[in-house]
Amino acid sequence: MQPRRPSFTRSATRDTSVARNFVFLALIVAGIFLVDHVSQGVMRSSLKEFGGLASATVASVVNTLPSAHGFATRASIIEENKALQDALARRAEEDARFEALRAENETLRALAKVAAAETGGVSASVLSSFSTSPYGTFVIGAGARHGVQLDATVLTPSGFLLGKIIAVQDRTATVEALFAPGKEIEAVINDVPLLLHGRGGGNARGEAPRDAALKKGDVVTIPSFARRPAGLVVELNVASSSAVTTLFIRTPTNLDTLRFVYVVQ
Amino acid sequence: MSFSKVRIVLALLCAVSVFLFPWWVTLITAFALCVRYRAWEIVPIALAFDFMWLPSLSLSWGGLPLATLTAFALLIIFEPLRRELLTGSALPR
Repeated sequence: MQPRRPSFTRSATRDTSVARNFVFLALIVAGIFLVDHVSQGVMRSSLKEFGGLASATVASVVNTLPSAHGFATRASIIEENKALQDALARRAEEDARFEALRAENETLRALAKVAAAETGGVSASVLSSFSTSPYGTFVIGAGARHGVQLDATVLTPSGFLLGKIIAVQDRTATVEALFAPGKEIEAVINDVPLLLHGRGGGNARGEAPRDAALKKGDVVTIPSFARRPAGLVVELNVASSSAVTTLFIRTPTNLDTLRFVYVVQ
Repeated sequence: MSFSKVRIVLALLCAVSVFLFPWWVTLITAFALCVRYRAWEIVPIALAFDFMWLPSLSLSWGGLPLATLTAFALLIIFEPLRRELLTGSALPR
């Protein structure tokens, strides 16, 4: 009978095996990323297409559930509540949009130019929740067959900037939110340029000179997106010893209840 | 490598949550899997998560495949903990 190996050698052998498996797995993952990069996102686009369809299927099933017997009364109250919240959010957004348009109109009158009307766009349903991805991305139900193109601008129904298209599949597309976590974007508020840092969920933070004439409710526009409005200033913080004012920006749209977006070609 | 019913259910829930549930559901199920098992399956699930939601792969903060890196971190962190403190060395790997 062969002598039993000491436990510490069995443990060392197991550790080596685990470490070897770990390194092997890391190499496989790196290889997959490399293949996806070389193939310009073929694997990624297939998965996004599947994910978008899965979200759409689940959404359609969930929407039919409230009509089942036993859920009707409670469901109708929930639906009414959601509709009222949606209406309230839309009203607030329309007020903000009115302010943005008024400010834009004054600027254009001063420059004696005529604003171009939006032409050519696609309405698309939002398939995934904004809280699903920590990267600030979401999927919409319009793709290449509907005329959606890469880098197209995505707006809320009231015309506020939401993001841009970063990936297009046949029937779905992926949108990256303007204020995605970690994203930086140049903005203008009342002719004061500043750099905004995305915080996700339609929120952003920026800093402006302390003496800048900014206040709550000021409209934030983005020069790189044809100076479209992207949000409102909801809070300003200035420390007595600081030379800057910290601004907290928020998209006036309730992203949790947003069901449709507008893709501008 | 053992595949109990609990592990299969957690792994399926983790995989489905990539597409349908908030990201923290995926994180919690991956965490639960790593606490109890040497759950290598969270790596392909995390890879699918990054392929699905990551805007673009880059070395900047916003372009890192955080889900994949987190999956590897969970496997590394919980390997010694699982063996010695959380579940005991006598339980199957």
